[in-house]
Amino acid sequence: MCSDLSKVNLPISKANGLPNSHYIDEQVFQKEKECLLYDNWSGVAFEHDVVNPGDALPLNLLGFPLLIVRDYTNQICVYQNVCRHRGMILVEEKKNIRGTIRCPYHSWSYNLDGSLRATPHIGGPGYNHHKDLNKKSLRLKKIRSYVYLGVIFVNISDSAEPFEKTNCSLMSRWSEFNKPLFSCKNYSSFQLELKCNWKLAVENFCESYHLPWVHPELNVVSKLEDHYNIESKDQFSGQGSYHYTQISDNGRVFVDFENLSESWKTGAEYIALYPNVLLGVHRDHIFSVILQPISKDFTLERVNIFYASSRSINKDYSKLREDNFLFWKSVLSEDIFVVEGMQKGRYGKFFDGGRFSPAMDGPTHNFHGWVANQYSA
Amino acid sequence: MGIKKINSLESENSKLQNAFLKNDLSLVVEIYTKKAKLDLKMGNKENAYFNFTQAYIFALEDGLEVSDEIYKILLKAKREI
Ligand code: FES
Ligand SMILES: [Fe+2]
Repeated sequence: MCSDLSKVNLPISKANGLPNSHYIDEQVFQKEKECLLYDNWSGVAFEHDVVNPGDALPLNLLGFPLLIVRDYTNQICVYQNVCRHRGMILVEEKKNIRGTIRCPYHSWSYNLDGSLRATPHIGGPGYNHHKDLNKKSLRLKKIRSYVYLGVIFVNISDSAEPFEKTNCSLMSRWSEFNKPLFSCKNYSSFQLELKCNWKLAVENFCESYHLPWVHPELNVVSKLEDHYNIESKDQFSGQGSYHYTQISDNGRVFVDFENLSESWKTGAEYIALYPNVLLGVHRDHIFSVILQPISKDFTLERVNIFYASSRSINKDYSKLREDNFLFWKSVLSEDIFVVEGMQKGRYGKFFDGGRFSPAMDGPTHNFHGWVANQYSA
Repeated sequence: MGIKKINSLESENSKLQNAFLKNDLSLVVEIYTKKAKLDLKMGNKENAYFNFTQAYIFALEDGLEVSDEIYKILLKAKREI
């Protein structure tokens, strides 16, 4: 199927969006898996998915088996979840590891730092070493990882620049939010199922053009003209609002981040950090969304809300947290029909990727340009 | 092998099976260590180090301190490095 990207990087007034094949073609999807997701910093889990030392969470990113571990020094490490002996999956289910990670096949045992600790019977029954096998050279394959705004990012192919370098401009733009975050069990997280390609969820999130139509209730508190576009070549795009209003419960509002600049008192920003993480920041809470692609036309959207202060996760804030949770859940659910509708639209073979509104669609055009560059590189 | 010996072997094995079923790794380690020590006593070195190895691996998995002791036994017998 055609993947002519020549029009994608034209100036927005002349450009077309990504061709249909980037949403419905299996070959393109497989190539994008490598060049968009594996070659870059993709979000795969939340920091609190492995809350206690020894917690080990297996997951996969489009088939690539990952093992996320919190070690006994409280650091998060990510490994390829594959034994160095016969390639068995090491950990099948989330668990807490008290000592070593023992492969369930022949029991080669690994320390949480990835080193190979024991190789039982490797030299014959009761002989646990062999001159031809050096344990030191058989560590678990470490996958580069970085935790930012509660999300664990990985660079599977080990080819990306360091996370802080790739994302320096967002990290400095939002440096005031790079602080401890607080989240509790109830009313903090939810998951949505999207029958669409993951990129459509990115594209929809980063533009504000649809707000008055898809989220009319938002337009009451934050009008379209209160929004501005955010575009950073090759890293992220999104939208900001000058009119964030805190929700309140009988005058009670969530506690703010400390030492925020004045502009954040009424400002909020929503940014898609390429490839697959969506973030929103406000004076009193942030949310992080991980888009987990399952197939070319199915995506899981995992959402977690984090608060700025430990006080906001106290019991007396539970009503407010419930309201905030229901608010975001309903806003993000309102987007489901459009991302799924756009997916169906990609089967219209005369669709040419679409023409952009030069005034409103900059963030989407920016993302498409990034995709096209990665794809053609 | 006498009937009595077979019975006691069977009961050892079912104890082991139960310990695995309950995921009670410290009991698993205890059973293997006991077997190993008995084997040594009977002069059956190969069985002994096989069983010490089994005990060692599960002790490591469970983060049990006894793994250090078993390691030393295996090391001394040149079964570990
Ligand atoms: S495959 Fe893991 S020990 Fe053999
Ligand atoms: Fe939306």
